[in-house]
Amino acid sequence: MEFQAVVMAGGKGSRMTDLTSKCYKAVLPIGNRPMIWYSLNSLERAGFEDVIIIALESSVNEIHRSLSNCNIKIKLDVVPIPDNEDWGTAESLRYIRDKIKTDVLVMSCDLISDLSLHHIANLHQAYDSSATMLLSTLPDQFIDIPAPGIKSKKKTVERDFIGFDENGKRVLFLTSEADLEDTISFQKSTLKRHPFINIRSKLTDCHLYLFKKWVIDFLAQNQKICTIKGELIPYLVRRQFRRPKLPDTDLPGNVSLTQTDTKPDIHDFTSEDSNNSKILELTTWTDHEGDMADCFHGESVRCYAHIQDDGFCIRANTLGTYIEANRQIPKILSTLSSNKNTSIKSVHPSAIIKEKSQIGSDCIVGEDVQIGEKVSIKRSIIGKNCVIGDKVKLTGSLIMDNARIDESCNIQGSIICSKASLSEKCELKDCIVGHTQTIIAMGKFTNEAIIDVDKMMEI
Amino acid sequence: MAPNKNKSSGRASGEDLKQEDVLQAVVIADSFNVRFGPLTLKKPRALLPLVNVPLIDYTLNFLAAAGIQEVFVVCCHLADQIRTHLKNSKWSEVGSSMTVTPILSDGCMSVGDSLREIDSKSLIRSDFILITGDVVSNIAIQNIMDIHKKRREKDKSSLMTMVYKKAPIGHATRCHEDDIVLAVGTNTKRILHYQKTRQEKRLNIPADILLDHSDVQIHYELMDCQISICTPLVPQLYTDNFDYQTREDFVKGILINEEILGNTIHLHVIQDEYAARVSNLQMYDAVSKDIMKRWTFPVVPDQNYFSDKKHVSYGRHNIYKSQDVSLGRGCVLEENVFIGCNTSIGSNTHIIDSVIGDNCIIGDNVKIKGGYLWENVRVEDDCCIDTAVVASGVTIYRKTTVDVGSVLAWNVQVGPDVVLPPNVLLMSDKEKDEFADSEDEDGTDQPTEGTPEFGSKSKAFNYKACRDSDAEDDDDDVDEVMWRLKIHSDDESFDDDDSTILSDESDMLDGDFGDFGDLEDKDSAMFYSELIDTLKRAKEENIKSDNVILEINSLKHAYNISINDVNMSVVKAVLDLPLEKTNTADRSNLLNAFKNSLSEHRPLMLNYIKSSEAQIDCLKAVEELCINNEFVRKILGKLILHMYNEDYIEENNIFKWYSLDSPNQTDPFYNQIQTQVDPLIKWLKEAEEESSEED
Repeated sequence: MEFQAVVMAGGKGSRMTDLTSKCYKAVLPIGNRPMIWYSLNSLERAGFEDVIIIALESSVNEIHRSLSNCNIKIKLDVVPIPDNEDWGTAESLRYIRDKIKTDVLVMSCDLISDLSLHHIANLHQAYDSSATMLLSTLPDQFIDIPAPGIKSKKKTVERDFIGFDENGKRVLFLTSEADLEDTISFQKSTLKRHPFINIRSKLTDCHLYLFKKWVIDFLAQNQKICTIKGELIPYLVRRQFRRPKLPDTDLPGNVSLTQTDTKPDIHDFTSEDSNNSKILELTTWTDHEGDMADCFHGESVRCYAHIQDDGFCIRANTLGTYIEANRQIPKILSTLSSNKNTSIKSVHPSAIIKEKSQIGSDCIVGEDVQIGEKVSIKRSIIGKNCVIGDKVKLTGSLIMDNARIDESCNIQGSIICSKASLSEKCELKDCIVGHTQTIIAMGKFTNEAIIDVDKMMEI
Repeated sequence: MAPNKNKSSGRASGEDLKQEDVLQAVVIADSFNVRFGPLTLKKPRALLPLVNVPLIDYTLNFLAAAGIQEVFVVCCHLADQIRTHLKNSKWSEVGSSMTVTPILSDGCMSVGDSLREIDSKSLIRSDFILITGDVVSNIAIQNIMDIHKKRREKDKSSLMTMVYKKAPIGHATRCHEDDIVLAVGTNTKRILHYQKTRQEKRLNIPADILLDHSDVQIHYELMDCQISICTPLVPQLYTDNFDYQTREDFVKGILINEEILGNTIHLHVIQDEYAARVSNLQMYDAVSKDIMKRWTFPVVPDQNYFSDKKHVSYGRHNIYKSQDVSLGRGCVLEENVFIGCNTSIGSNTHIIDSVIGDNCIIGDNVKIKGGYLWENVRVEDDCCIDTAVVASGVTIYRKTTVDVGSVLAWNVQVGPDVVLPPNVLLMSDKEKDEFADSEDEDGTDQPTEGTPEFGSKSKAFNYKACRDSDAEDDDDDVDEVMWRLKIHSDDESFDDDDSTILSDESDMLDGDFGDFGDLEDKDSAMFYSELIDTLKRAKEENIKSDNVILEINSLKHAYNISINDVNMSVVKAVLDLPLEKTNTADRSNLLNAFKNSLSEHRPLMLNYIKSSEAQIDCLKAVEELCINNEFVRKILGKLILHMYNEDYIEENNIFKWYSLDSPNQTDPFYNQIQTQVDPLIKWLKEAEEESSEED
């Protein structure tokens, strides 16, 4: 295998604590499947046979359990990381460095995408890239999704500013809005090599990266780097234009020229494959036009990005995107399943639906669900063993397993967590009903999170 | 006229009876600079021949082809000549599709003045094309005009559309003087940031641009064609803002005031078409070649594009021959050669990449490469011309070599039997302006006799561009690049060229001041000791660096020291101070002492060591110090590296300095110096510039 795959599932879901307080983020259901299934699925479709999953120590069993009936063929190697250390992604990656033998694909468990990974792998290999990332042009509709639960102050989405070369592949500049200073400055020599830079800000980082093996070695040496997205990638992007350090020994004299710091330089790691360098020498192919310089201008660190323009791609890392992913998933679920025969039926055969109920094709109804009369369900997901009373209206909502909704409830854009029960004639709009919560009859709520009070305090 | 008819018929008849706008253009037929050295003393830039056709004819033909009906030519310097030229041109014939009106305004000192003049005359009625009188182009400006107008309909605030051509870094017609970085909205094509790069090492772009616009392109591969489509508001804005001198001022002013006034400037990029401004000699060379290589088609010599009576035949390898050309036996026209009428070329003469004007006589065994010979030039046998402009009426006597980058202005005579140094600018009369002071003392007083260095029969004098003190900093960078042979893709050969220019200059200076050498030495020694005192006192009394600079400047005048010497002295002084203190005690700390002293005097250094010339002076001073002090010699490499890292000197200039012939070559310690510097040079050359972003 050319690549190893690592799925980062150790996140705590800090952007959606209302849900993750009782349930690990990696196993939150999306379309009645645990979130992590989607990452594993895309790896499986790309032909990966085994995968390393980095998960919180306490969540390992939960992950195994939730995946047990999902028909996963890929071999899982779940690596537990301590719950209380709060490791960043890069730290986790450093932790498993001994397992990494080849170039590695790192993805986050919250990426829900129908992308086939070969695009990014092709790019990675064609340009002999050091780090390749997946970006997506997020349609505007996904940016401002009204999130259920308590309306927080209008959060501005943190944008990334990413500069591309003329082909739109090479990443020449990367900074997040928060890190932006008063001016952005470019070295003239950099501009001479890359005279065109297109800086785009409406791209979402999908947190899917392909790294050269040496990047992991480098990471292992540099303890300071904690996160992939926030530190490693920007560092690599910046280091692209930096030339190797002047070797000390070349200069006569007693005092060392550059302060003798033993910190290893990034260029010590970028050992070029001798075959590759030979090929580069012989080939007439070049990655740029306009001057006669060598291919890549002799830059040994190179970052590229694949931009996904179409298809489905969403990161379920906030409440808004999480529920949106649930609403969208019925449409693309069929394309995701490798096996067309067992195509996912939107309504599980074991579900019991009484007469005069309408269930839209954009819904998923899980096992052993009982649905009463004259029920109308649109753009919603209903988990296992739920009981839905007569005349209930569900729109754009997510009902997790074992929930109970009594007659004549009207639920819009809300998340009902597992084992919650709603008494009759409730009206909920953009709410979250927490685990095992009960709502009395005739309850009317808009934009509220009805969850455990103790938990609330903790948050 | 056809497109106009279409438009007027397309318009709803009763809606408005407004007269269809006449397409107008304003040609600025003056460059307001002296890039063309002595050549423009007698003829305005716009009338200099480019491949045997006056420059302005290219511009006017381009405008006519674009369907422009009314052209105003603003002429300042030698305006009469331009007016006469226009009067005799085809544009003043009856039935000409375009009226060309010269506007004489001697008082104009800049593009801004010209446009204010245009505004005061209220000549502009609609959107117009603003162009300089030295642009060669074949672009279909009509399309760009349409885009501009469409944009105007939607967005009234759009003031101007500037035309840029895509020209990657190594592009031959890329003008080094006009290196520019633009930030442009990808979808809007609006210019958000405009910055001439000049000598800067880093380019800063305000981050606000990114925050306000979701998709921004940063261009460093564009070349300004000096063609812009302006709304009538543009001249008015020039009038309102009397401090706008150049178009750059205007663009910057608009971009800065954008938020207040809401005006915007847009960009149009052409890719396959041709447009270039002959803005300096390097561009003259490049554009001439482009024309001969037919990049500018249909603007090529054989197309009768200029409806001239002259017939030009076009042969293989881009050989253009006018009528009545006589070629001697065995003469070779290799490629890209234009030969004017009535020109005769002797036997066994070899010509490549050159333009020979009308009525020239070229002798036998002459070699011409990259030569631009105008009319009535006589080149005698066995001469050799390499990349030079030879103006009308010049005689080059036998066995003379005109070297790279030379300019021989009107009626100069050189030779016989001399080798001209490269990059000489020669004119036939002695300069009569008040700036020529020191040169007056350099020997010959009779203007009829030439300086012997240019040959016994010579009639040639060095030309020194008179510089306005305001424009000085501007011109400084340009002089270096004023005339370059070729654009080399690798930087090394670049630097070689530059270094020759520089070393020549210093040679010339040495010669000029030869007689006064002793006196000068005394002066500079006095100056130096005063300088040291000043610096010491500044430290003791904590005087602000601004004031120190002021003091040094006054010292400069008091002792009549050239700026080069000031630069060198400042560097020497800054390094000498710690040297005095440390003595032989601890050498290891010497480097640190230097570093401290440098950072202490950083504002001072930055003030003096700005231009690349100054940076080379700085290195020379360090070199001198090394010769005299063995401890310095040992840390030379590190010292230079430090200066490089701290941005005092740029690597280009280190190369230049390195390739200079050192006066200390005979010195026994010279070898040691070289061994110190060699690895540094090697390292600098091997790798490209280092990003200074450290973390």
